[in-house]
Amino acid sequence: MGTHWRRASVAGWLVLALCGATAVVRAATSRSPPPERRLSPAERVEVGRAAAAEEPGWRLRSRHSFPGDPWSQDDDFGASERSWAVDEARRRRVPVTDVFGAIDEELHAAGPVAPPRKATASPCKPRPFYD
Amino acid sequence: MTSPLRVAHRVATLAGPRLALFGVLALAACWLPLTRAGALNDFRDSHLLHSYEDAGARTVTRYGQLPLWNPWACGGQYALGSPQTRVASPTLLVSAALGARRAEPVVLWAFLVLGMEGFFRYARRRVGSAVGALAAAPLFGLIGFTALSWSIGWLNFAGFLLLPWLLLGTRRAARGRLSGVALVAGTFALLLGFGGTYPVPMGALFVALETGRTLYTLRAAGRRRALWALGATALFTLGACAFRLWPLVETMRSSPRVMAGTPGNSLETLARMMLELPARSGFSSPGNFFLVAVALALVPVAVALARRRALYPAAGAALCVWMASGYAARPSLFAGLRALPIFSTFRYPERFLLPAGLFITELAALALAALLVRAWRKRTPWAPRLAALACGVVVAGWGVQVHAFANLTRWAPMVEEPPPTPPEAERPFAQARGNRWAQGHFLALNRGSIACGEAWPVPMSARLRGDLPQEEYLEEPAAGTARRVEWTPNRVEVDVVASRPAVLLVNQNWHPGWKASVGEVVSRDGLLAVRLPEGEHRVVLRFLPRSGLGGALVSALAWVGLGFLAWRQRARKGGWGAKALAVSAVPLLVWGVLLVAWNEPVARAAPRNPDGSPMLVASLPPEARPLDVRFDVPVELVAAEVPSAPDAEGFVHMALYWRVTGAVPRTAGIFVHLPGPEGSKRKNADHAVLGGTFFFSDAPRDTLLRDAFAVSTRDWEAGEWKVLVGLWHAGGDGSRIDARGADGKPLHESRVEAGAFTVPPKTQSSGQP
Repeated sequence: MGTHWRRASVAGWLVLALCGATAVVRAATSRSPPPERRLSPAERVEVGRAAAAEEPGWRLRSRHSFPGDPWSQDDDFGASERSWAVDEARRRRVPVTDVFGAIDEELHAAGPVAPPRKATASPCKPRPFYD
Repeated sequence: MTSPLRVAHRVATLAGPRLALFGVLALAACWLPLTRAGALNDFRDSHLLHSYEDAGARTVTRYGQLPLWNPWACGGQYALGSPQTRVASPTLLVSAALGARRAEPVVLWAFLVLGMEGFFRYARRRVGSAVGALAAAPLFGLIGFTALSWSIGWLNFAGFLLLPWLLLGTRRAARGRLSGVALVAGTFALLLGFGGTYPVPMGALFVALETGRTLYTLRAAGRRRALWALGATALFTLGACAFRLWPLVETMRSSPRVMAGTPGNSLETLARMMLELPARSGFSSPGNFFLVAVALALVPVAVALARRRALYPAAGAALCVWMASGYAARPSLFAGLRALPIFSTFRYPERFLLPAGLFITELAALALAALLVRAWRKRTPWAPRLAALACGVVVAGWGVQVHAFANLTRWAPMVEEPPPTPPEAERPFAQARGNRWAQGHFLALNRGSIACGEAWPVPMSARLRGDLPQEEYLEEPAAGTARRVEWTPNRVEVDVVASRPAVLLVNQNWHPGWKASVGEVVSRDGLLAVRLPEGEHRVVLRFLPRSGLGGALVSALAWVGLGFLAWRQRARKGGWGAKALAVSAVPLLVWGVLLVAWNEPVARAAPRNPDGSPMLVASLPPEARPLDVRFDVPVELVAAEVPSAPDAEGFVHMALYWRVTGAVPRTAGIFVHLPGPEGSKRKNADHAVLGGTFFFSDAPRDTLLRDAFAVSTRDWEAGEWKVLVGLWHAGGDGSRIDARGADGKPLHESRVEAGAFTVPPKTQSSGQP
């Protein structure tokens, strides 16, 4: 290999290393805007209670959407809860994580949760059909 | 050779400049993901799959442990036994160093570079032109599906990009090169560790085809040597993959995945998936597998100019398209593939467009090679111009491919970065009820999500709770106290004071890999528990799974064996033959010894209906109505339970009792027609899979199978509804399977009346029956 090509080869490896370094640095330093605010302790209680109040309705709807299939019912309930949590977080301009944290705190504070609410999850049994 | 061509050839053969080109193209394609690194991907699958990686990285960095057990998902699951986790791959180190979310686009970049380089090396040998291979490599490496996979959290599907490395390794191994053996074994091990649910079995399929292709080109003596080498390659690969294969096989045997349905795609749909430029936003099929049309346009050129060399890739591409069309093709190659073990769980036939893309790109490289050869020979005055034009168009195609890739990465629904996860000391781990649609948020809270949405039935306890004051407690509170001393994912330490023999419960799933320093680890309805004698105990629970640790030993031995063979070859002490085969078999023998000598309880599959009731029953309950229907396939409908009216909430819970006495086609499924009072629309409760668990073809023979299902009659008209049951070819031509009643006479319309129920009129106040 001539000197010319050797240099080209070294330059190529350097460019590759530079690309890799750029990727790492870019990924490590990218920042998303911080949340406008966080839920206060009083708001956490309020949000937890609001979600608890919604739960029986979501559960009833899920039972009729997926009769005889508790995992699918829980999964459908989860979709309703997530949708509500995202809307609530948007409305209050707080991270969605805070809303789920408030729901979790309410469940733990409420002690053993009784029907029609649930603090359990049906064992995973995905439906065999997707198409 | 013309000067520009010589320069291009030289540049293409130099690894440095070539990789620089691939690195730059990959960086351009990944720029948006890199810019959004750290944000949370809100797509449901990403919540699940990303949380696995996050949990693995956290286990390494926060607790200094190997990611064997994942307590944050589904109430605790075996990380190595869960097929979609990426925690057994070296990429976990990137996740540990950068954080799992920031690592993803960097890993994506690396896979793109690897994909392009792999294709170059594979195609260069196949088409005989470095320039042709170089020009085509970015078209394959930047295929749209990888971008889509990143967008929706399926980074493990980037493993498809390593397919050329597998084929390259196979060819080298067949020619007796040890580097080929290492390449095949290493790539499969990497893919398995990276959660390659599709890339691994599909890779195996194409390795088998490549083996045939290579053997075909060899002479008799070479073929014999190649067979020895390929045999050893297969054994080494098995050994090298044991660290993941053993946990996976063990887990899937206790919790098999069932995939029904008859997915299909028309040729037009497939063409749009592959050729239509993806939109900048939204989720839709067009462009999911984008491959710039230039590649396809060069296929006829390759076929015309290099007929013999084009034959295999052209046939391969055609087979892949046939496979990708799924059940829409008659006959369906995909249906045939699904009859094989492992492949039976394949859900999306269109994923075969990826290997189709590989073969089409190989043909594009071949076309360029053929044009360049003609340009070099200058047989016709237009040849150099045509070759230059083709190369120019392909290079322009790189830009389109990068643009399409970037468009697909825009589909990722990125939301703000969750607040930093509190340390264990500040917020101790506990299970939350959780939410599988938002699992990422729970990991950020150091909470496990017992709500689980995996694609397979994860072994879970129904006794898991998300509202406990403490995660470790005694089954009988009056028997004493339990206090957590230390908690880490693979090790839990609890002080127990028991005034009498007691059972310590841990709010996580049981797995046979859990061992205790005191007492006996048991499963309490699937919950992790330790049976303890009376007294004061410090109970240390450790997760030491036989399959993970034993598998790692087997894999290490496989690499030692490969190293030994490399040393012998270097010292010219041996080549391929019976000795090499013997060396490659040693790790597998050790595997066998471990299986026999290392006793561990075996988790058995307990087939259940969706409502949780057992499917295998010893006898009929008294309320079941005997039917004794026999079908033209070896299936009997023994009896049925149909209540006379819906329950208080409007549900009708029914059960059918089946017995399978012989081999049944996989297509056989159950139809349940529910005709109601006059003027009402007929309802149905068809299901091809018994209790959501067995196809008739896989169901245990000569056993009573209880198939439970329910319907909600909330919006149904009042009156009598009949329950008519029969069998049909749900995955085939849709025809019904003939049946005879208890009297031996053929049943009208091949269905039997299993019962009837009466929906009462709705009350005005509640709208409920």
